[in-house]
Amino acid sequence: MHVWIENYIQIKMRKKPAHTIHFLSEHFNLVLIILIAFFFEFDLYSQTPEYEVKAVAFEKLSLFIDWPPNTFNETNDQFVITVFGQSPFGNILERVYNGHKIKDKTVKIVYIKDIRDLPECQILFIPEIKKNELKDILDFINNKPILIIADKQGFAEAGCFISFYNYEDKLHFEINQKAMESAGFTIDYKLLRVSKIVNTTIE
Amino acid sequence: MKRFVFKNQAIKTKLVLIIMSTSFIAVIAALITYISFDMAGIKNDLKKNALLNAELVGQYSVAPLLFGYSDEARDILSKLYSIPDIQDACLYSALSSEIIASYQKTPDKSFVFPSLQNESIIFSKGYLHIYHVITFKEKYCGAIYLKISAIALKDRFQKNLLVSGIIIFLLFLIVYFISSRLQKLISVPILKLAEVSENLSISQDFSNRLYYSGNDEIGILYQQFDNLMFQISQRQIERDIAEAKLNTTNEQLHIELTERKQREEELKQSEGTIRSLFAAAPVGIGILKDRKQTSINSYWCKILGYTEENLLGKSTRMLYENDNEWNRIGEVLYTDLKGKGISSVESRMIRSDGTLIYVILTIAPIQQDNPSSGYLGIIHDITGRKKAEEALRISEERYRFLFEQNPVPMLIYDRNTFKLLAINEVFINHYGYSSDELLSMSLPDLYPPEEKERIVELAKTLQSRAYVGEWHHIRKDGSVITIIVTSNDLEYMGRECRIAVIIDITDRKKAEEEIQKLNQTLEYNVAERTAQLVSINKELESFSYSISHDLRAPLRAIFGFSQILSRRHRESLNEEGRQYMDYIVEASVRMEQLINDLLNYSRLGRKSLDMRPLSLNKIIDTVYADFKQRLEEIQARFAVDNDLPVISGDESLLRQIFTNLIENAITYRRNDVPLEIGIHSETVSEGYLLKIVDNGIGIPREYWEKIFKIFQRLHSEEAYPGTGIGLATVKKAVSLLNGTVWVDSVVGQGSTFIISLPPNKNQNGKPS
Repeated sequence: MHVWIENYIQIKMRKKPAHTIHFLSEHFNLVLIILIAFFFEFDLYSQTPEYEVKAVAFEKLSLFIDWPPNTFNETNDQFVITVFGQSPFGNILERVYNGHKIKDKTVKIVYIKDIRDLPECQILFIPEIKKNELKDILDFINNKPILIIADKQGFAEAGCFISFYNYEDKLHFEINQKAMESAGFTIDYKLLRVSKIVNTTIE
Repeated sequence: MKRFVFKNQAIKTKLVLIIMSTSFIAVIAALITYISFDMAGIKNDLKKNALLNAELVGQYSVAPLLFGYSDEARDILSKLYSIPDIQDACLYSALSSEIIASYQKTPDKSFVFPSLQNESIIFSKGYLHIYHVITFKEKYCGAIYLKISAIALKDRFQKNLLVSGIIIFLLFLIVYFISSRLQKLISVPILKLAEVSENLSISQDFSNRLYYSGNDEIGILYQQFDNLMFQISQRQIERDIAEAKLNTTNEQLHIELTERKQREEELKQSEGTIRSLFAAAPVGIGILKDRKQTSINSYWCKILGYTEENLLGKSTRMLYENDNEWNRIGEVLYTDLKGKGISSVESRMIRSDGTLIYVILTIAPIQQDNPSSGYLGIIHDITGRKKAEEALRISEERYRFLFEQNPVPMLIYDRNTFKLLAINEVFINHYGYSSDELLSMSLPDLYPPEEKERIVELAKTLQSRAYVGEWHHIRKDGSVITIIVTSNDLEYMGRECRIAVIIDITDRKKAEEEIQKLNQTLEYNVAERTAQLVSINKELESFSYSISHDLRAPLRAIFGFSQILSRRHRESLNEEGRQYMDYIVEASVRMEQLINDLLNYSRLGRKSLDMRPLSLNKIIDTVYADFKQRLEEIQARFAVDNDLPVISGDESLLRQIFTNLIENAITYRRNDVPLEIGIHSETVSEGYLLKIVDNGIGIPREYWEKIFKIFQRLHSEEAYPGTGIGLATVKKAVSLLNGTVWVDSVVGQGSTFIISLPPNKNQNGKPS
């Protein structure tokens, strides 16, 4: 991508050597594209890998979701994403969120094996686990303002707020709207529109 | 050119034009400004609206863009269907700037969505193209492109133009109305000024003043104009005074001049008069000194037949026959002159060609006191008059002789007093009065008392030559004579008179009366004799009718019995007896025929006529039927025109006419040729001509009239049998139909009987 842009610029400049400002104003389109490209630089390197998409999805989801008030301290300016159990991300998360902010806060990634190690965090990612394990986790969290995202379809019904699933090679979401709202989250309708809304099924 | 046209327009028109064009420009400018602002506003609204739409759709599409859900995105775009202005739309993904969803209101595969551009709104070809960046919570999510129809803009523009047009039109009317009123504020005072100036130039009266209440430029103009007029009127007064003085002097001079001229003119004229009188007078004028001709006019020469050179300076002796006459004239003239100052004498003179002329010579001294200055002599040629007098005398003698020696009594009387002025000798002899007695009588004295008044009345009205009519005169012995008079105007002894020629018709009158008496007796005798004849004729007719009628009975007896005798007892008779018997039978047959014909003839006209329109063709058809067998036996040809007219007539008369004529043709046919009978008709102005033509033996011309008389036959009974009544019957029948019949014939070739019948009274007689 970079190479292509450089080539493009070179071609343009060779064709029409001009002042830089002039160039910028004339090729505002191009500048915009470059800027956008830099802004989403991480995307450029992760074309298809599933977990790259999922990693980015955290940031995107948080665009549509407001955490309950008083979730963020005045002093604490970190947005903590906790990955429970066996992480499928490798170092993708670190790479994606390196120097990147969610909700205007620097992002910190925490990996835990035991739920009791759960730090104060905003997103808890749960990989594919057994359902009774999930129950323990949910009991532990117990209405803390943490967005629980599961990597397994059907978990949202089981008590998670959001669960990932793939449909037609695209990442889709199940959202347990009632559970989230009763936990104090507000969800933008835009997200709800493109998601599957589910309700908690009590077993 | 145009400027000049405008220049020549009336001030009213100019003002109206100025106001109107100014208003028009202002309105146009205002409208243009308004429309451009309005259009800009609309455009702005359109843009805002479009941007709003883009933002709205963009926000809806945030999640699908972020998560790459093209189906969702397409679904959202499809909702644009509810905004009819949006033609095309597409969404660009944030990552790849690729189109992830598109929308077309009317699917058009050829349409290529543009690649992503920076945030912009572009108008192009009636469409609004919007590229709008979608951000959500300050995060770039992608971009949207909308293509929106700008038809609203166009509509609005058209609407604006229409409204502007109407406004301009209305304003045009209003401005025209107002300006044509307001222009009067300026034009009226100026026009008034113009009018006053124009009147001034005509009337030259500068004492008038203009009044204007305003203090504007027109007020000043009026004031200046008034001042100017005041000055002019002052000057005019001064000029008038000077002019008046000048005029008086001039008039005096003029009068003097005129008088002098008049005097000169009068002098010239009198001199001219005398000169022209001298030259043109129809008398000879000459100036004589010592009996010599020192100056003469052309008439003098003309009378005497000399040229002027031959006479000038010559003595007047040459004009007279001899010395004695010359001396006599000299003595008479000059002696007479001493007493009267003018004298004249009649004399004879000799012309250059030797002929004598009669003249009256008159002379007068040119200056009364000084005889040596000469005399004015005038010669008046009286030869013509002398000759006329002579001719008159001769004529008068001739007419006097005619009057006096005329064998008819004549008289001349005064028109006014009716006094008898002259009568001739015959008159005196005829009437027995003496000449003196008659000359003391007046015209009415000649008439008997009952005619006196009438003749005076009549005589007053008579003019020029007139036949006065038949009157009576009384002679001296008291006997009355009848006369006829012719009179004529005549001037006799200087009086208005009439001359009357009198013819005594007393004897003629008597003869006429006798003839009249005889005539009357004759007429009476003729009428009496005619009546006798008519009655005898009638008697005769009825007698012949009854005779023939009564004859039939005995004849029948003779005929019948002789036939019976001949049939039954023929054998008992000898040859001679049988012959006599045959004669009797034959004679009785002929007698029967004769009586029948006679009866027919005398019956004609006894019956009243039954006149009605009849077709001649039909009548001839029925007649032909009777003859058919006989005609066929002798192989005759019978040709009738198909278009014989329909005439008004009596059927039995017409039948008799044709029966007799055909019978006639058969009887008098030639034996060597077959008989041909033709019947033709002709329509002429007097009615119809019917022609019955045969090719028989013909009739010599001397018998053409005779044959129509009863019992007239041209041939012996043996040669051509007949009674001699047939054609008489035809003639009688035709005359009963108011027609005439005659014959035209060539002996040995045939005859043509021509019947002329009058036209139908009711019908036009067209051929049926």
